[in-house]
Amino acid sequence: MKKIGVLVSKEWAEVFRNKLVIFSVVFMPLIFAIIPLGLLYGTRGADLGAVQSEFGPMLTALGSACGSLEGIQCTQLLLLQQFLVLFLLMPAIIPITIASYSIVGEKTTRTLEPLLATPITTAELLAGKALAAALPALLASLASFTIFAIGTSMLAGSEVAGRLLSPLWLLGIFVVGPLVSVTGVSLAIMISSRVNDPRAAEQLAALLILPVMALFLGQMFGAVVLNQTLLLSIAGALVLIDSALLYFAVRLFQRETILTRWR
Amino acid sequence: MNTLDTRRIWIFTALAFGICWAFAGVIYLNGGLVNSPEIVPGTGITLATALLALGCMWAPALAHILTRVITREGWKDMWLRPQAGRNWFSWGLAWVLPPILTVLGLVVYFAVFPGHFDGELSALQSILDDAAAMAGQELPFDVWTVMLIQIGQALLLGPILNGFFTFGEEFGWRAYLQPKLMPLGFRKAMLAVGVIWGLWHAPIIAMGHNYGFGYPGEPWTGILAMVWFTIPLAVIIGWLTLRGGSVWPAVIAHGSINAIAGIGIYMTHLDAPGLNSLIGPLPTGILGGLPSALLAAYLLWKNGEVGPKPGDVSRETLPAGPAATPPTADAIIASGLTKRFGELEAVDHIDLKIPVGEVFGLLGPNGAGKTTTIRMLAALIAPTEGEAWVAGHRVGEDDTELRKQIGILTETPGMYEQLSAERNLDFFARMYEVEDIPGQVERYLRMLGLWGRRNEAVGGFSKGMRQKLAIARALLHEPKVIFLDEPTSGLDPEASRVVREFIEELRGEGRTIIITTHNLDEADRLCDRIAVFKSKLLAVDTPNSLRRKLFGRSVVFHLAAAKEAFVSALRQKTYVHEANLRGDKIVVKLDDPEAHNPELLRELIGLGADVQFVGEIRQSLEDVYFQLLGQAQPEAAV
Repeated sequence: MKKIGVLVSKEWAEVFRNKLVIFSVVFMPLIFAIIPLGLLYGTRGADLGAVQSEFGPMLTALGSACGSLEGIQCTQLLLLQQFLVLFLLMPAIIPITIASYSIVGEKTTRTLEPLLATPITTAELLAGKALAAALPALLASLASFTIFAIGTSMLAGSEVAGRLLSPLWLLGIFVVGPLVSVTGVSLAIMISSRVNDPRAAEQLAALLILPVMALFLGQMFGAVVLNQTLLLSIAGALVLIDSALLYFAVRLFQRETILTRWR
Repeated sequence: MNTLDTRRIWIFTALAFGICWAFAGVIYLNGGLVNSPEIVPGTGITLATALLALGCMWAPALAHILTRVITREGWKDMWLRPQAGRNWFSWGLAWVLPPILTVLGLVVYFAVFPGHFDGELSALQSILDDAAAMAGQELPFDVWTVMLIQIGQALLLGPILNGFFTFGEEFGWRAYLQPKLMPLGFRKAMLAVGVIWGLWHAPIIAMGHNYGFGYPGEPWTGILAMVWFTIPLAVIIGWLTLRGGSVWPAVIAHGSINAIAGIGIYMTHLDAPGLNSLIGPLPTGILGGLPSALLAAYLLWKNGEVGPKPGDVSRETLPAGPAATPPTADAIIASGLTKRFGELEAVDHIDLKIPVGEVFGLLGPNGAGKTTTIRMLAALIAPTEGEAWVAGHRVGEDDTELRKQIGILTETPGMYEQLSAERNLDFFARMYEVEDIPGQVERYLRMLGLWGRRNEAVGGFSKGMRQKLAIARALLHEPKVIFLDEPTSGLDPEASRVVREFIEELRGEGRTIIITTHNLDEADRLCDRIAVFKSKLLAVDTPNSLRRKLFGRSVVFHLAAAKEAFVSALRQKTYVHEANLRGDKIVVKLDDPEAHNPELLRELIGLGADVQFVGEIRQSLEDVYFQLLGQAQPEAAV
């Protein structure tokens, strides 16, 4: 456990010198919080009829989420609901840069062999690398959600903001988000340990966001309704996928192959 | 060193007992073994049967897995590889020994209590009569035929059918607890496993398992009898496990015992006076288990003092344990060490012994396998064949511990370029769990002249500075064995000299250093012994011995004017192997110049030669190297 902490600290000392990483961890969450807030700002004093005619079918489908909220507040909440997926996208995107460099980066700097020569186990090494990538993403997502909730409270009132603490949102932010993050990180590390080029690792790992994007677009076009049942199903599926990915990440990390085939 | 991992032993034992005894509690609360409710009506499968088979018998396996998870032990050395091809005899013994011992136990018992023997097999006959009554027809076989079928089935199928359940126990007792106790030595380890295994049965013995009820001293004597049964069994099965290098012979043997153990009941007058299940006839009784006890005693006597030799340290060697550590005088022992990459034999069966405190050079052309050898010894890659011990640790067995004892300067040592020199060393010091991190980092940075640049990012360092930093990294944790893979490669003469002087300092500290280098002059100066290497070891010795072995010794007499007559005179000496004229020099080949030089000198002066000076021709290490590699030998330097 101690070695995992040491590795995480070293990873952070290294990666946070990279501007791209700082951008992903700081600015991306800010942008992801500001986009829905901007839209929310636009709905202030809007013609309810016009909004409803624009998003009519979707709003009808999600109407039950409003509960006691009525009129524009209900519309605002339902609009915000569409952006829940953004908060699932963040934990997937942010760690990819860090995680995909994790092993292949050590290869390119020729530090992997000295690192493997220390008394660190493969599980500790991968856990350290994974945590170093996932923790900033989760913290950034949480910070982004906090900004989003505070902004919502200021723009739409505390009643609408309070609904962001519904089981649907909490499930998304605290369960599905971390699970998506684990998926992204495990996949990126797995790819990172198999390729010789950091760019290839990043590009391959970036493909991971496609399913989340599909979910986002599906929801936008009304093809998918993101409700509690769907999120729970996604969470269940992710638990299985993550378990398999973590298992394979350790299995695929062949110290010998990595050392002897790397030139 | 192999030390007793008490923490893991306790965790495993607590889990194995806790899980099984919890299930035993459930059985007890639901009518015990006797009145347990049937869970699948009509099949006879009761709650107790199911929980005993799946809960209790699998508890040690579960405890094994949980202990590894809880203590983050990893998944190496699970003893699951069958290794049947090489150990067919162990598998065979596992299959047949239990029935033989059981039958011998019956012979012993009925020899002592002949009145208890029931040649008509009444107990079995009674069961057959009940079955016939239920079926409404006579059974086609007589009772002895059924008995033989029963025995045959137990012999042939029993070990396999029971294997599923016995694996649950064996994967815990033999694949985890036994290896963990082996540092105690074969005898103590086997006895300890036997006692723990026996006591683990206590709750089910108390509920009437094996010995029933009503025997004197119930249930304590029953528990003791069980321990009497499990100790010999632990020795025999444990021995089979070690012999086979796998848990599977143990699974088979345990399955075989479970299949055959009960047959004695059918041969016994169950209403015979004096019948006591603690005594026999089953192998769980004192007399029934006597053959097993005698065999176990023999195995303990035979194997108690035997320990593997450094060159014979395979897992199959009996027994492992504390004696499995090689003599500490050698820092490195390699025996038949081989590495193949597909068809390519990178390292071919090398045998090496490097004593503590020696500076040892590995010389060879590019691709000779030097780096591969170092990687194998540093437990970075696994040998394809053979084995090695480094700083008392067997490569491939406890690699994490081994890595704590070694320092390695890799062929192309990388550094975290964005981090400062100090931060780089700080990171590695933490990974090696160095106690005084700031102190050690400062010590080595100062020693290698980098203290003034400690806060600068390594990205801006010259190659020489990086190399020095990498050497510091390899030494931070004060390793006993240091591998330096081309330590002066690509360095300018000044930096090379600093590194060489530093290696000399390390030699003074009594550490074992293994150097690979292409700089033969450097190897000549630094190394106590060298190995010339090209996949195979071509020669291992001190540089001077190699010179002598390959070229003999030659003395050169520089004369003012040499004549053929002088050479002819020297050739007359019996100890002169060769004498040649080379300009105004006479080169003489002989074995012992110290003894014969004075006489040769007198001879030359007596013949009127003006001897200007005398010297010895010293072949360079390069000559030795090329000679060994079978390449063209350059002109010797004089």
